[in-house]
Amino acid sequence: MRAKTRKVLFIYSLVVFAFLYIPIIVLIVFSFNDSKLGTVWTGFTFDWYIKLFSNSHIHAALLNSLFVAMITTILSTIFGTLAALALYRYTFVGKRSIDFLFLIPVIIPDIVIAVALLAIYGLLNINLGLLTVIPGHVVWGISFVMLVVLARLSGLDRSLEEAAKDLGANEWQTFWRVTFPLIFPGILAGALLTFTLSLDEFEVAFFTAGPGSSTLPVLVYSMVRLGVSPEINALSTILILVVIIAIIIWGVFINKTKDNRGSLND
Amino acid sequence: MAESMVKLENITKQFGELHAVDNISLTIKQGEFLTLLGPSGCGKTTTLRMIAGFENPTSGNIWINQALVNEIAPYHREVNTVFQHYSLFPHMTVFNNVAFGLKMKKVKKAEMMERVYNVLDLVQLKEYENRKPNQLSGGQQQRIAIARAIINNPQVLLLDEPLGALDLKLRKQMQLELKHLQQSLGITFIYVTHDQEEALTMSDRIVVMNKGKIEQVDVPRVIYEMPKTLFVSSFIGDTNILKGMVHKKSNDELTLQLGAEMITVKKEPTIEVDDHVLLSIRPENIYFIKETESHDIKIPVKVIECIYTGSSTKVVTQLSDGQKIVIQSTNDAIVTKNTAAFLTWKKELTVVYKANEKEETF
Repeated sequence: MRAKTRKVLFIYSLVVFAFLYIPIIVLIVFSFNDSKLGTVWTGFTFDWYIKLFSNSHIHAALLNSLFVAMITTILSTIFGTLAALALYRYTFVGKRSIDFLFLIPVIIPDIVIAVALLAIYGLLNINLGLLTVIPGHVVWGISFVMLVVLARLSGLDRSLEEAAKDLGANEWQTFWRVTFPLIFPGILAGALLTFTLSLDEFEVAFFTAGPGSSTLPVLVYSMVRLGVSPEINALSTILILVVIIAIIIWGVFINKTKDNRGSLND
Repeated sequence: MAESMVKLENITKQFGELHAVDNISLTIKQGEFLTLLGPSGCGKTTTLRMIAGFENPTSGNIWINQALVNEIAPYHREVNTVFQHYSLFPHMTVFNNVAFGLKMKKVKKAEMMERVYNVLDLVQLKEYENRKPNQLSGGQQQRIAIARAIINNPQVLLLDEPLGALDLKLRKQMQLELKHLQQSLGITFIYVTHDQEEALTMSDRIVVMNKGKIEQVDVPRVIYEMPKTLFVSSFIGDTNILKGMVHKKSNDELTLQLGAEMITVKKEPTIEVDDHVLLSIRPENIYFIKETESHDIKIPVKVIECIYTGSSTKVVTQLSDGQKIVIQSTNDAIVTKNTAAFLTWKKELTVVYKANEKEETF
């Protein structure tokens, strides 16, 4: 590569990264700002973090969010994986339409799912609460898990399952000893994706949660309506930290299992 | 005759409109090394997969050790398979790969350990027990795949082009090792390959398949020297296919016109006077003779090309009617390009086929 090209590309990369990360860095910096107004730097403090940890609304919302995300993840992972296995293994009439039906929840806007769910809950006279948020999340959670697991399955050498059966493993043993360990990274990736998406989902949670069962994003929204408080900055900083740690754990795990892919040639 | 270990009875396998295997019947004896040989798409792998239980025949019966197995799942059949790409479990160590079959049978731990180490010893890979498959070379993976299959003491070992992914030298070495292994274990081997040399080297009997049908079943020597069909003669080894016409038929001989010459060959019952025929003569069975020598078969040709190939010289010659004959000659043969020469071969090594049906050569 010519020196000039390299220089241009370097500057270009810097600009892209600056665009992506400067707002986040500003947010982190101001979470330590002594001033209540988030715009002027007046001094360093941990006050916002202390305030954050003693805010019972935030505690409740965080627990709500974790609860919804956890249940969503468990349901989506089980059903998404089963759906992926079925679509991978069997051919049947209308399979292509089914494939497409699984894509729709990923594509259509969350707001549509939220409004549709709200209409159904109204029709069935269901009282809104925390549990009413979960179906809306599971709808796209299943699709995400299915897509990720299906991608993993399509890279799986089918003769590995045949080899297991050839060596005396029945269908059940073949699945747990060969298929499952090989697609597990895909299942885990799908589960993590669903968990994080559910954790920060806003529209469905906003429309379908009952009074007093706000999730974290909904609470943040209502707090920000009164102006961006440094408390929110502190909360966001913690969330970013959690995400970074999760990504690192995930990366380490992937590196560890990278050698174990069941691809066709070695 | 030894007991039949595997018996295929009028087996047909259709994939949609395609007849992958078309009504074949075959009996494989206990302890036999049988090779299914043919070009890709001839149905040899499908046949093997039906014996393993991965495919069900569309019609016909499969018997393994006198038991009808049509409806039996692969994990209940006493056969094991060595797969084309080994199909070792990538997430398990060598030890666990080899032990997999025994674990499924719930063999006691002490016995399992002993048997795994014995079989790893047999394939000389004991020190690799803790490696993962992707840390092994192709040849080592191959050995583990074999160890994983034979540890279960199968009645029949099925091998699907097991040496296809290895380089030539390793392949030759593994051919002999496999043959010795088969002899010392006394297990029936059913071996699929498209490599005719491999088939000739290793097999007790060869089944030559083409387009889902069996062309010929016999010992390697007969397959090579007396190919029953034109397909077999051109698929196995190199050969010259020459066009001729039947001139005269006597009690035990046919007189054929080949170019401007007349030659006599053994009689074939289905061939009549005036039939167009194809002759198959192997390049290594043809010799140059001097003009003064007299032989039953003596064909004048023109030498077109001499190609040195190391252990021998390939000489391309041409008959008066333009048909080419390739001769695998010794390097000291005294022929030169663009000169006249005379050829001979033994009449019993000439195989004659009726030409009208299949004129295709391969």
